[in-house]
Amino acid sequence: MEHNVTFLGYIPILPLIGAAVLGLLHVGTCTRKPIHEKIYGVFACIGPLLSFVLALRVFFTLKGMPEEARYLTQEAFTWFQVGDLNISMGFLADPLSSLMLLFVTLIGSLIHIYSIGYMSGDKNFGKFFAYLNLFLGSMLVLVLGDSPVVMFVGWEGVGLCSYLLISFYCEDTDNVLAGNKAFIVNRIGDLGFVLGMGFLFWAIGAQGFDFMSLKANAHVLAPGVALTVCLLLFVGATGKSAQIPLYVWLPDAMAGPTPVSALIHAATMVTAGVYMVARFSFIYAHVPLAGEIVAWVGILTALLAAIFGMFQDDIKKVLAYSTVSQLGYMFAGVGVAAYSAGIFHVFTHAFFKALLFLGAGAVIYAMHHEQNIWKMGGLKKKMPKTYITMLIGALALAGCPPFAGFFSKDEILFSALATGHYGIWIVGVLVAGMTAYYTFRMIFVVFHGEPRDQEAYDHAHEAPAVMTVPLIILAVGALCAGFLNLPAIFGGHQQVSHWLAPSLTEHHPHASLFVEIIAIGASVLAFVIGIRAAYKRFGAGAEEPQFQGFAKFAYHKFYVDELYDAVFVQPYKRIGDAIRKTIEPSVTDGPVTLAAKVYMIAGAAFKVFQVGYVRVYALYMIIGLSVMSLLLSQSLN
Amino acid sequence: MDVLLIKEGFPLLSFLIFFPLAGALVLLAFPKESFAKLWTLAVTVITAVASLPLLMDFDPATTKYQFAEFHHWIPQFKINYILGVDGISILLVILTTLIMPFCVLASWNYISRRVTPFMFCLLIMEASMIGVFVALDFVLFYILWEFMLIPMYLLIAIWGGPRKVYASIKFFLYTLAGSVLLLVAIIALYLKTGSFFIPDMMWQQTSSLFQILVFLAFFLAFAIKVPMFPFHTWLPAAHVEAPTAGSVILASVLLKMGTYGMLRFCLPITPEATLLLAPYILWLSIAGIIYGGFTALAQHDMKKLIAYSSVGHMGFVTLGIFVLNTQGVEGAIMQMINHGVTTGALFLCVGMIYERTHSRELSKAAGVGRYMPWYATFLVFFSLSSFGFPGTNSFIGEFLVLAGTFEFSTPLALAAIPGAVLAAAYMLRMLQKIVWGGTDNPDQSYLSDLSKREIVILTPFLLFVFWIGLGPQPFIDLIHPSVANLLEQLQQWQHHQVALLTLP
Repeated sequence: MEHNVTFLGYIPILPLIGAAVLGLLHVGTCTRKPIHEKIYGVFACIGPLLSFVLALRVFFTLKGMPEEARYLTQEAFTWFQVGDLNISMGFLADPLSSLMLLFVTLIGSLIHIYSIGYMSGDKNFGKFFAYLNLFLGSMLVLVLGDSPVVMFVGWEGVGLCSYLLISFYCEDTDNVLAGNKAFIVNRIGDLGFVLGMGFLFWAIGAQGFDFMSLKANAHVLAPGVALTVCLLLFVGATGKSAQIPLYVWLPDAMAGPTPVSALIHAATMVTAGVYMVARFSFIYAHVPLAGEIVAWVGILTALLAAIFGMFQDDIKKVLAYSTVSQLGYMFAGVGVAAYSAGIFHVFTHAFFKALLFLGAGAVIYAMHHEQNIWKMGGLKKKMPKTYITMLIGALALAGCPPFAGFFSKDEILFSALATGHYGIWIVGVLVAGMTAYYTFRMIFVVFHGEPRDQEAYDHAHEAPAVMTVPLIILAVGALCAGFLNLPAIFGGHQQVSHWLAPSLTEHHPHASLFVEIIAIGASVLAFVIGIRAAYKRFGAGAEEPQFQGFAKFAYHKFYVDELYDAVFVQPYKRIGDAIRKTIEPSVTDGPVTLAAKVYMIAGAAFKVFQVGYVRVYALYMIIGLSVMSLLLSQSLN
Repeated sequence: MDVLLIKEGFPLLSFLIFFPLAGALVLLAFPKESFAKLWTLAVTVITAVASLPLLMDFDPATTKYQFAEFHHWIPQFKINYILGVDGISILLVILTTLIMPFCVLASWNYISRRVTPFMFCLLIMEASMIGVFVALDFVLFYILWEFMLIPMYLLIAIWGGPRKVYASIKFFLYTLAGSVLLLVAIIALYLKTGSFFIPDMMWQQTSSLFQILVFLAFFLAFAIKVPMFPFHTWLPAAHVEAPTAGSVILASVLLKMGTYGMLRFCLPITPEATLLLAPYILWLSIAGIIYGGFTALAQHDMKKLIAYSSVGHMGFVTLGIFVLNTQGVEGAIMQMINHGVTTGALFLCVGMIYERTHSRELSKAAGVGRYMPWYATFLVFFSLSSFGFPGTNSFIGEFLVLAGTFEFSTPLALAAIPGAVLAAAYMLRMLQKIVWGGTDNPDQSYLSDLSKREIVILTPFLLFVFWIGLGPQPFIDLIHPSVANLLEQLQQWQHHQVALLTLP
């Protein structure tokens, strides 16, 4: 079986070429006569669609291989090599990356198409698609990278695109600051990634620093080093995937255009951290303590974000916190060593969360860029397609059987229970109920009841087909994706878990039917309670609540942003200012200025004697001669 | 003299020194301004093209000094005219020759008065800078090293900004003060070894005290030139006041002489002192990285911001040199080149804004991206390169330096890494102000985007950013043998010392 192929590289390169072409077209024409939007739209979609076709080819090529030897590699070129450090630009497609490839390119393509409608009329239409193509290319580098370093290239690339797209509406300084925040918080996380790579390299990297060699040599890692590596890499993951304590950038990232929120900040980029942990499962699996920490950070993030999500009034912020919360589930999954369950939730979440964001985008589009849910209401009559597709997405997110989210979330919670992580399981079930509550709070307030803003309601209209068709396709995904990994209890074969098995180092927990039924029962019960509470409160029209006490505290997100600002941002700025204003001129440059001053004072002192009158010089001469003769006479005596 | 590979036939290195010098003398005879510009451009381009055979004929298999030339000069004192390049200096020579035509182009409209003397200074500058990198006789080196200060001083003092007198005098005296001890050290070494030939002075058995004194004299001169924290205070002043071409030369080439000196002299001539004092220098480098980052974060003047970022970046270079391993030193040399490319380009970008708005204040340039998309594109790429974005040149350098640091000491690497966050923070802050702007931008609609000349200036820099970023191996292969040889000699010397000490 031939494992070396030459077409892997094209998967990221095609969108990258698209980005270059679109970027040059935009920069070259934007100050003069802009190019027609259709041209940009066509160019923008070619790369992603071709990548999707290639992703299918990868999938079927792998499928045709024997299970234990399913991988394709391509070493493009030696990137750099100094001493032991040998880094290739190489790509690796195995079952794990092929699954990621499939949904990233599929959802990426759909969102490109949707954006043609959503972004129409924007003067930076070309720039938007250049960034979006660049993002997709970087994401594919991240997924396909065959070594941590190549992965890091994509990792930074998606971070850059995220930053550029959050700052996209740059006329508003707040948006640019949100972009800066995202980038810098991510950079803090990246330090963890870099340090983790460093430790890993000096431990076992000299024998080859690609994932396959690392996997083969992972057993010689000392436990302490393995734990350090795992925790440092996880710091990187908390940045990119918005976990405690670095989650703060993601809600602000909603400043970007809505398709961006759907693609980057919900479906693909933010799941990169989960993907990374799964990719390094060959280390994590041997360090239970690291897994424990990952799982607890994940589930606590899920809880915290769910609390915040229950009190938001911006439709995108609700979804943003829900994303943070769902990412928390994924980490809980990979943390309890149920890597395939975590990745499966990444997969289903991509469909229903992209769907919800795009639906929210259609609503925002219809309401002329109004995002406050308390200005909406009764929209289901005006926008039936959006309503129905979003309802499917909401049911999937809330974990209603048999929608996609139910199976994947249940798989995680079941794994937690079956491996004896009862605390994580209890919090997880609680969060499941809260998820159902805030999701349907949003659905009821936006689509049900009476319009709260009659004028905006009258102008609202269903989105054009270029936007609704992607919604419908994603809705099909949100409805059906769960069946791909149907557990045995429902008569399924867990195809996704089996597919992923060769890439991951995991043991499937064996648990009794009783445990399985308890897990499912608790999840369903939580869903029912959550949705019932939401219906009671918001089902038939509700007024915007005035928050008091804890609710107010939660509405303000526990003032974490303010805390970070006071503890980290302001001191940094003050240090910089102090150096600029005080330390640099007086302390660092002080000795230099002092030296100059000493010379100048000395010069001034000597200047006094240089008066320029001959009679004074004659006086100096007489004094000098007298002193000399005095000394001479004394010494002679 | 067996370390020299004497080049028969055309004396290429001498040509690179004397051709710009001759070009400058021609300007004395024909001082017409329009001619002066074209002539200087022609001379710098010819020098650049003539330097390319260095790359093509350079033999990476040997660690000897190549293209070497040897002529007796003042035989009474054993002072000779000796030139040669090895892996440590070759890229610096090429960097110098390639960057000069762009300095001329960048001054095309920027310099409007006394054009001919300006061009004269540029050519003199080029001759002496190349000379510094290829001189293998210590007296020759020292003469060129000091001589270089004069044209640079004039560039700042005559064509500089409002505080040009202060800045130029500070630059001149500060760097001169550092070099005085260098001269003392050179004479001391001559008295010890009886030769001014630099390779003759290397790996000698001298007393510890002697080594430490010589090292400190070297170090002070070079640390001021780099400049290392806390000897950097002349740099922001000089950068802010210098004309664009001056800033570019300063950042791209002049600062590299300090780190070049450390590699060429400190390590092989005073190995014992190097090993003894390296830990302190490493922590000084870390201090520079952090201090430079914080200070850059608080600047409102673009040139000052980039100047302080240079302090941080050069901190990475000295860090790489003194961890004394392959990754560190090769990363440091790569980073010297990268800093030359990227920071040079950033200063060119600032100059282009200054020509339009006549201000270097970030707030005055707010929101120009909307009207200058080409400019914004270039600036974003160079900023990415500046904070070491993967795929750009600086990533390779910083990655190698960090890898080397990691091998040397984990705490040191941990301390260096926050510099990366700071770098991103201050560059993004600059981009935010300039490119993206805000709601209350000054009216920038009168600004014109980059002209063809300006695009021609910036494009090669961008090519190098990505060339070194994506395919650095040819560059690494050039420098590797010399670095490996240097480190191997250092190790041998160390073993030899140990052997001497353990003798009964």
